[in-house]
Amino acid sequence: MNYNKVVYHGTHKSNVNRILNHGFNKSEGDRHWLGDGIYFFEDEIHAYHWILEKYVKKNNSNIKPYYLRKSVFKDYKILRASIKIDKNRILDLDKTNHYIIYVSAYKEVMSEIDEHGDPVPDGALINLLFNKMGFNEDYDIVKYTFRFPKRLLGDGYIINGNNKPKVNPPQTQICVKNPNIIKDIRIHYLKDIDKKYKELTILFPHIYPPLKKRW
Amino acid sequence: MNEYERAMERVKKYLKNRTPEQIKRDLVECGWHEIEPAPIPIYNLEFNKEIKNIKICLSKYDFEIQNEIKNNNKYGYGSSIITYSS
Repeated sequence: MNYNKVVYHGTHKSNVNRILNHGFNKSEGDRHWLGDGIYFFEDEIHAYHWILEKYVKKNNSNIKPYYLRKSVFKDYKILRASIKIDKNRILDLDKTNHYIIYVSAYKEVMSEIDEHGDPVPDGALINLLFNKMGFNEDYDIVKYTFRFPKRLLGDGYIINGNNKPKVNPPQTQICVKNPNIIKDIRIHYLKDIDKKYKELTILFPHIYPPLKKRW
Repeated sequence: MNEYERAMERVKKYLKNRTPEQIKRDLVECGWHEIEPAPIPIYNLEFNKEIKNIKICLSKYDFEIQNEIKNNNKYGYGSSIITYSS
């Protein structure tokens, strides 16, 4: 069984040429909850959401996102790439058997170090599995679907105090540990930006106000 | 050997050859103190850190969410986290 998918990655325009010419660099980051690697979304809408958030924060958080839904692409781009690998090469934490492996490993490590201080974040534990224990020999990707509390994404723009979702919609992240499996990288253009923005208003109504009729 | 056994063999082999101090050093090298816990972690033994993290991230809306917490302890997937923090 193959995992054969187009996946999406938001990035600043200054990175685009380097990525297109030389490929992605494995990166480290304080929000790399699946450990070091190259991160993708399975859905383009999440990549669009990601670049909009970056853009809003960087420019002026007082500007409503619908004013920026097109101009965001002046500074940020969405890249797409193809990944085709054997499904067995994915540590898929959405699958019960892989989740059990992960939790068992976590517990084993914690019982050895008997640590009652700073808890070990998932990203560090996953790095330990791949960088020190040899999980990279068995798996090329770590995949997990996060459900974030709604306020942890974005800076706000809460438009309706009564009808808010409790958590954001599922967001599947893919952390590629082996860059060699990433193929056919190119810039991805949204076909209909207003339609995509409308999807955002449905997915994240507390962040994205609806478009006004004049648009 | 099935997938679970193979994975746990890797884990145990690693742990067998390391002292607790070495494991801690490896974890630090792997981002123990740099990577933030996910807002809703994949798995985490410690709830306290989660609460702390959420409060830091929510500075702007802290007042509002605290009110909501008081009014609604059922916070979906993260209910235990929110309930404890109230």
